[in-house]
Amino acid sequence: MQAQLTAAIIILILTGIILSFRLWCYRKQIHHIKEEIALMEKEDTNYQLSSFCPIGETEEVILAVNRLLVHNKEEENRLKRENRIYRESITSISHDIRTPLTSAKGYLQMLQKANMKEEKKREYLKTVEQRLDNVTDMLNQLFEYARIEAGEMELEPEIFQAGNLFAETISMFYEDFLKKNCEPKVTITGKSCKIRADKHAFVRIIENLIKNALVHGTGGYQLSFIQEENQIKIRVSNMTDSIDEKDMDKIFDRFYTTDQSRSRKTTGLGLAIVKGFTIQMGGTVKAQLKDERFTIEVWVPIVADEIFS
Amino acid sequence: MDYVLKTENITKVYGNHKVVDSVSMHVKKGAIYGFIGKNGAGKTTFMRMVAGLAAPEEGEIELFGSGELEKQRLRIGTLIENPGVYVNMTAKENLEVIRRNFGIAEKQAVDDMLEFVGLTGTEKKKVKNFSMGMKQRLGIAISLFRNPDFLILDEPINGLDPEGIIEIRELLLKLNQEKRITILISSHILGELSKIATHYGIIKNGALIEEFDTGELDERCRRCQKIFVDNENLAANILEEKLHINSFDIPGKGVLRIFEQLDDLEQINRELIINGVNIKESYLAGQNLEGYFMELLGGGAND
Amino acid sequence: MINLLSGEFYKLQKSKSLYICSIVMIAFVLFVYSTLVMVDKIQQGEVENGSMGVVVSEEAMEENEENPVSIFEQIGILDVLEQMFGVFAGIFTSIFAAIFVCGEYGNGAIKNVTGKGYGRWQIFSSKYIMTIIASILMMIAMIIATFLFGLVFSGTGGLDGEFFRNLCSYTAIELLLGAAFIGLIVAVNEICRNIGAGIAISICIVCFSDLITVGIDLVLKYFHFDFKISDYNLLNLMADCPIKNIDKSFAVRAVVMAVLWIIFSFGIGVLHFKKADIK
Repeated sequence: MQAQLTAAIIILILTGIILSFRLWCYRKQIHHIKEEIALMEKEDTNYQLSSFCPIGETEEVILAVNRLLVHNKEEENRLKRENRIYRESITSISHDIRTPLTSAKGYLQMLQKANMKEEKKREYLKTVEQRLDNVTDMLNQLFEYARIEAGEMELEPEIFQAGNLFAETISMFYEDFLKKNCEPKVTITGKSCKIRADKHAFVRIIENLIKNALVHGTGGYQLSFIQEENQIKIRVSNMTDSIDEKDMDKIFDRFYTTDQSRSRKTTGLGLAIVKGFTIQMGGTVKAQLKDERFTIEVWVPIVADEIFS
Repeated sequence: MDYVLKTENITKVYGNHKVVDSVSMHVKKGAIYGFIGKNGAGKTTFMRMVAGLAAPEEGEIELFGSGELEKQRLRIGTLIENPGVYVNMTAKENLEVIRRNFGIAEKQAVDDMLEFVGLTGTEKKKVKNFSMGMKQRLGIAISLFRNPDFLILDEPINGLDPEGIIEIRELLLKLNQEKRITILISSHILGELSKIATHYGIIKNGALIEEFDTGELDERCRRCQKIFVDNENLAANILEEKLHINSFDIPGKGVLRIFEQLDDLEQINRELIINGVNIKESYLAGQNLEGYFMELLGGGAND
Repeated sequence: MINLLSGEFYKLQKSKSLYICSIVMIAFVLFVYSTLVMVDKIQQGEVENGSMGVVVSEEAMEENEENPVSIFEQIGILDVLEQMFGVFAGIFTSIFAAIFVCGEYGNGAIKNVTGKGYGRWQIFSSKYIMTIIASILMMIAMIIATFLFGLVFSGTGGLDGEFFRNLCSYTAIELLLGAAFIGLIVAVNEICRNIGAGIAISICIVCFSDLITVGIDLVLKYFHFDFKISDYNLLNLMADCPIKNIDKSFAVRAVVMAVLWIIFSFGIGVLHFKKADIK
């Protein structure tokens, strides 16, 4: 009897010790979490909750909170980054727009001066017009992009023979290529295959690709329009020295330009627009750099003849 | 301005030699602070004091704008001198110790971190058989393990091959830009630091002799026309009056540095000579970064 | 703090020195028994004295010559344990402690926890506690090995209630003293922070501290001081602890001294660890 009583008391004491230890652990754990959350509330930090001791389900709570934290943090960092890029691009766009405007204004002031030769006047006016065209171009591009982004771009898809339009569009740039002293190598196969797309958007894709090539390229231009099974591939390729292998991922990002310090001739929207339109047509884009040869390829699906014949 | 680290005249004496001599450093939030000095200039000792491994004899340290160092140091990741590892364990076991020590509940964090620093597939290899580069990576993994806001790295690219150096550089840039981690990084390889640093501190014989950011550095290293003349005051007058050049300085007797109108050097020289200044030497100097740092650090003397 | 202990425990599991030292200790138990077996055989006249490198002193031989009984009748499990605790336990646990503690400093792994939210005393005490737990485990392994080998060699003859009472009280006091001793070794190693020096100093303490205290006792006696240092030295206490019927005064002294030494070594260790810089 005596022995059993002693045993019972010992067991009771042991249980008491274990239980109070567990209670202590719980309290410490909660306190620890509270302190850490207080720190995180006060500061902008990457810090995550840690555990004082593994007790009960507290660690699962910590894990869940950390998952939330990581998610929020990533979101926050992404937003901040985008905001920064956005601010920078606003600055650069304003700069880009101001330069031709200032110059145009300068010519206008000169025109206001009396006794000027008629010939000179015409020359100045032409320059002013050019500058204003530049501004209009940029604004159009910005506007277009903003609409694509906002999903307001109402495309009117129709079915047409893309090869002809391609040839037409590149012919408009003939003089620009001449100015650069190099004739592009043009390849067109499957001229008669048809695609379903907004004509305006299609032209814009080709325009932007060529403009991009003209600005960043150094020569060796190749423009091709190739039929590949059930899609067409538009390929614009040129030699370049201003682009890095690691830029390839970002090249279609909006406002992305390769070298910040380079004198700007683009808004960094051209290729973003290309991507936006292509995706709306159900196509894909890809950029690659190999031995200083920069290539952009755009695939657009072909509409089978039978469907509408 | 938010400072992640601010020290006020901290001093450390070993014997009767002041290893760190009243250093007041200011590291801004979001900066990559390049801490430059020769070997033995006191970089490591300074970092050890910030990390709480050594106690300063004098001075104050403030972390994240707070004097509660023990608490704030939770937010610091450090790699000081050699990576602190158990050589008889594998990389994974080493990280597991860290995981347990800091009560990190995510068990997969160890594997994730190994992958992040490129140490996957070393499960069977003990750290004593690691190459220098692998050890360094493990050290970086340990320093990053608790998602720090501030990283203190002491010569992290020491002993790495060129590819490793590029990798670490890109990793640091990524951490700085994507996770907005402030980094204090020491080195004596100036070229490497100048590729990533946004701020610099120059330490010489234990004293922080200069602190500046990249903007100021560009200013100091920009191209200039260096002219050695017999009468620098007259020359300065001529520059201002006749040539309307205001951006120049006189670093020493008989020396002028001109930062403007560098495309018309003949004009400058001609004008000076016409007005009676004798030019001993004149050349276009683009003091490069390395040269500038060497000038700051050594003065040529090996002390 | 619990996290630190968990980390220490993980390191303990992964440290080879723990296993090696335990195995060597057990091997020594076996060695002692095999020596006894050999002596036994010599006494029984099966092996000639002096062969196989074993020399049994003549007196022991003579004493038992008249009546050659098995040596295991006279030397029981507790006697072997006394031998083990007297010398080997101290040596191997302190070698292990030196390796375990100095391992933190060899490559500077300790700096991963220092100054990272934990107070210095927490870091030191987790190391202190875990090393003591490990050495207690080692000693328990040794006790179990001694007991089991004892069963094999000398049979279950002497296993009565009194034996178990003696075993329990003896091992309890030895473990307590051993723990206090290892605490001291941890503090010493914390201060010297170098494996080689740590092991050397620990072994010196094990080997020479009894000699020194006995020497001082003699000097004191010469000057007629009625005071014996050796009564307060852990290693002397460990060696002197009677295996049977421990008297109360000894037990009290042992417990008090163990506690005092633990407080002392812990205090010294914490103080030093708090102040010293970490390389």
